[in-house]
Amino acid sequence: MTTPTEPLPLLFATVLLDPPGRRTERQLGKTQVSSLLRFFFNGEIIVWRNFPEILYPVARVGVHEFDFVPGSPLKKDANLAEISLKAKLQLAESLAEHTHRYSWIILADPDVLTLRNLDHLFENQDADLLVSRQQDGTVNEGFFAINTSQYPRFLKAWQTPKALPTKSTPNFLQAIIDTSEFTTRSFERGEVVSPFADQCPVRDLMEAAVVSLAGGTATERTKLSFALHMMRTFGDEDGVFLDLMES
Amino acid sequence: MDFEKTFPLRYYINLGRREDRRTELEFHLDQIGLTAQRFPAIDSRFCRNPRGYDNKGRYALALTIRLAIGKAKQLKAPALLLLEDDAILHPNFLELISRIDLPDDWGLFYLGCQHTTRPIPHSDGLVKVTRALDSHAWAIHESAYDEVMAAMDAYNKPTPIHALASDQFVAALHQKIPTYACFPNLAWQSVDESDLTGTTYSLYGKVGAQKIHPHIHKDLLTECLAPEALDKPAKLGLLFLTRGDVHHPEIWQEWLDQSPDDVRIFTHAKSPEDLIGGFLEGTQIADQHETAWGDISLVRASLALLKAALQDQTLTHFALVSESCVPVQSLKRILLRLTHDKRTRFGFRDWEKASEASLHRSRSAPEIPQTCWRFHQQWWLLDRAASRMVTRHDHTEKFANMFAPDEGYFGTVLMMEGYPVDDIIHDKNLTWTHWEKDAGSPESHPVITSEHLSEIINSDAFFARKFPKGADIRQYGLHLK
Repeated sequence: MTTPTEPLPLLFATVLLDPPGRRTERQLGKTQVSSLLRFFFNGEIIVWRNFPEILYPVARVGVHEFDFVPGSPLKKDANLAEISLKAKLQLAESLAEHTHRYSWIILADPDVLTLRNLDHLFENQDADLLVSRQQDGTVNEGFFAINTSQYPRFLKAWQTPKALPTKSTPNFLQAIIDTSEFTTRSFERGEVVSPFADQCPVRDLMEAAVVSLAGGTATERTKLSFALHMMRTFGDEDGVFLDLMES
Repeated sequence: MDFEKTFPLRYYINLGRREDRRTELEFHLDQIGLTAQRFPAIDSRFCRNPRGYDNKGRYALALTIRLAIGKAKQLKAPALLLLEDDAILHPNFLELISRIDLPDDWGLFYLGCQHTTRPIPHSDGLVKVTRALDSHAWAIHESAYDEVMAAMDAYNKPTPIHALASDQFVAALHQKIPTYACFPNLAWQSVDESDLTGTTYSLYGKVGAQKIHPHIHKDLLTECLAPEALDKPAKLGLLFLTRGDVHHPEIWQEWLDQSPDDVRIFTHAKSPEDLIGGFLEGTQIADQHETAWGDISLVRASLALLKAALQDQTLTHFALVSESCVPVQSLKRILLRLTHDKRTRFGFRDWEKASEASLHRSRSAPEIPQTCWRFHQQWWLLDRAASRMVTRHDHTEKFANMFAPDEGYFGTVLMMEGYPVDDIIHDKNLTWTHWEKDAGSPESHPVITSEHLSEIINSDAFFARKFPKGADIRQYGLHLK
């Protein structure tokens, strides 16, 4: 009930893992970070990538890219989901000592992009975890946020075997929520949508702040991610962009 | 009222997808010096049915308000202030609200609303609501939380006679819960596309005056500020700000003789001794200021005239004129007009339409909120309510370093005091003048040309200037027609 004070910034973190010869996650990651920057994200962005080609040859303020080497070299037929989950935990562990500078730590898969500023989703929130749920009630492990006051506890819960996905709970985040006592709240309804998982109406997709493309094929995700980002960045009613392309 | 202390919990309701409104409101609040937390609005897209409301949008708003009240209860907040994201607060909001004394028994309080039955004047800037609509800026006392929440739960209840909207359900409580509202409104709604109806509109004027039900709030400002003038025929206080006596005493005398009991003259002459034996003899006011051209002293002298004239409870209007002015409409006609169109009258320009010279001058008065500026001629006609408002607080120090503050003080101070200038003032010059391009002062007319005569007649002005002694204006008899 106090008057609002200037909140601490947010920290957004993602891991990009491309097997040799592929650039899917690089493109998704670059689109993701570009979308955050486009809409004046209030915080810093950490990107771990397993490929040498940096996302931004011209550095962007607040974006920190780090080379990441998975435990073993990524093969073309590697189980990316499993490797990615381990990498995500490693990334989360690496952030532990920096959390005091931030209000929320947002962990996102590369196929998550923003269509407008998302700061309001984290304002005046008193929960431990902020999650988005799919229509069947499952939490989306590809986009969630941890209140930094609870970060050590969350990390501890994540590091225990209880958080390992099982057949009945194949989702590590759901496993943590089910086995620990975290106050969990959903993001404002309609603000985070998952069109492949939920088949949401086009209008809902257009109105959302965050789109999670989990559930789509690599091609679907890169194309839709690019299309949505270009729509928001360059879309104009007069078709000037198309005219420019023609000239 | 200590606003922050009275309303420690302040929410603004906003849909996630209305980033445009969120940005605008936050910027607006920041300019005013106010803070409020965002309270996420329920999106009607996700409501299955309207549950006792006209449509899902109205239900979603009601549900959001109930959730906000629930949160206030949970936080044990003594009161909850709720803004909608299209609310506009008065540019001088913090000063005006600090002057309002909210009675201890208040249950509901509107910063702005639309009265659908006539409210009762209560105290300075405050009326007691009998029935009002809108919910863009209102507060709920903790004692009323439960009643408001219950009233807004319309599901499975008998259909009321009013429209099924949240503000209508709350309005049904106004006779039961002591409800007050700022008057004039200190908050209104922007012209924008409504999330509820999809149409673009505002039921408020540019600076907050209620547009609908004009018969309900007719003369309400006069009833609040100058009840003695209510339903009275026009009687004019003529305020002469002069160096000495008038240049055309014959014209003034012939004009005055048309209805001598309906005009009273007050004079502030730079050289009072020059009034002896003249038309203005015996009208000099006691409060005397040493005046200088372009200086704040002219404002102080004008205020002294107005204050002196306000002592006469029978006067309904006050016009500021100079010695070089002459009337160009008959007194009978002017009085008839003021009886039937009581509005304050002077032509003005706001900040956006102001001349470069006006904007430049205003920089010498940085304390004035930018959107309060109204630039105008030195000569004005004020009704009794506006006169009360413009004299109740002395703002002259804020304008003291400005050149020619008399060409902005009265309109700007009226805005700063909460008078809905743009919405209710007759935006037309009281006095005809002619300026040559780049001239430092208006043209003098020893001989009036037919072109200028035509301009005067078509201007609908009550007075015209500048006419030196011996000018030929009298021969046209405009003051008798």
